[in-house]
Amino acid sequence: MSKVVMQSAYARSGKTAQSRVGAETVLLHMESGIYFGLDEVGTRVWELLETASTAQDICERIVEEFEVNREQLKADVQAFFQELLDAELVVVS
Amino acid sequence: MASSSDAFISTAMTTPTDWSSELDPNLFVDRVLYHGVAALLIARENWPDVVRERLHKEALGQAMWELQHRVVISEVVKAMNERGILPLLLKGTGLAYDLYAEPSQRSRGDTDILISFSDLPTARTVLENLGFGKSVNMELSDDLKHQEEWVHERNGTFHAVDLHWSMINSEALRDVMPFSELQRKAVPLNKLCDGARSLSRVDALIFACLHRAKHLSSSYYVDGKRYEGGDRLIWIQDIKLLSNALTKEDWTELKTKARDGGLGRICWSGLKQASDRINGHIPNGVLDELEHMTESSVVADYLLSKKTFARPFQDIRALPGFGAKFRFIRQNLFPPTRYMHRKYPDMPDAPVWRMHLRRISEFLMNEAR
Repeated sequence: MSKVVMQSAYARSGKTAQSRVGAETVLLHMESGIYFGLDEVGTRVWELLETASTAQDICERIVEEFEVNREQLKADVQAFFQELLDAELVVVS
Repeated sequence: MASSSDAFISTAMTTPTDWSSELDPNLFVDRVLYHGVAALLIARENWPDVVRERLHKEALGQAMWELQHRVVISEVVKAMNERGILPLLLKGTGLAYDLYAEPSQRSRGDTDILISFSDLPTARTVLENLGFGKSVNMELSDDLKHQEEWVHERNGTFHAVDLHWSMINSEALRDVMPFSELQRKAVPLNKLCDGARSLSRVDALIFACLHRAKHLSSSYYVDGKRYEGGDRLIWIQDIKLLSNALTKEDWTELKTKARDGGLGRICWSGLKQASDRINGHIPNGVLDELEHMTESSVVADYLLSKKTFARPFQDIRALPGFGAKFRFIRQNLFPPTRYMHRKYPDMPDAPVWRMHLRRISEFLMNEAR
């Protein structure tokens, strides 16, 4: 299982379908049929992944847009990307 | 209580609205679910928690179903295209992927697909090959019915396709909106998948009004419960979105089709509801023009008449030849035993003639109401 590198660029895997529900997003991995739910911040990360971006760049954008602690966010984003990567929802671009 | 909830829902669909303490939260949500508009009313900040939570849960469920349903329907479209069939996606699915901000906002329980009658055997093979099974039905002959339901289970979720070969389930109206004409004007539905096509917006609007008119006096089911009245707000929302999307040329085409097809009163009725209840934008003069197309037509008489008891007779009259009429009467009056057992699971040991008697009595009682 590959590890998330904050300086690497990631993109949506192409195996997902998505649907917005208010500020949240529901993702479906089309091959496995498994659903994932994203909260407001996760939804914003997912939007930013529409164009391939490094995890670090996305982190910076989130810091600008939400009132969050940078160090805590970095750890959260890293963990979030790891989940996305493990679930094959994103790929290294 | 239902009428005050309905009025509040209409208002909330068009403008940010503070909660009204006169409403019962749970009854209100029940009405929202009946109207199929939960996903259009989520995230209202000052509404009671119980309302917000129930609406959010419903919207999430719809979103999850939609994501799977899109995969399933895309496979159907692709497989039909590969066999030379060009299906048209009607009503909910067609509009969900054309006009709604998120397809899951257009609640529905199935996808309606229109094909040419000549493609029916191939379309059945396609559905069977994809793992669909045909629902138990009255087993009318193909020439005496207009649609059939196919169901597919994937990852624990059921996906139904209503396969139509004419637009309205009525012999008398078999030639209304013919497939060849709709096919000629059809538009791509790329947001769903490559190869998907739907009605033009003018045809979709006319059909949305026809569909609503049909259900003014014929029953329909929402979450397994039988309703009558044709006033569901999701249908009116369809009409609103379609009317808002029409160009000046589209309106001219719509008026011409309404006049030529004897559909003026039907279109007027649907558009008036959209305008009055949820602020649908109808250009000046259009409603007046449609309202004053006071023609009597087979379609308007059939759909707008309160005498629904006459409909079977109009259908029988429209059938060609004595043989077809006889088969239609026999097959409608006495469906096969397995259909009767499915319809009346509470009568497992009763003789079939008692189930037939019950079915006929229910029909007569509904008509009397």
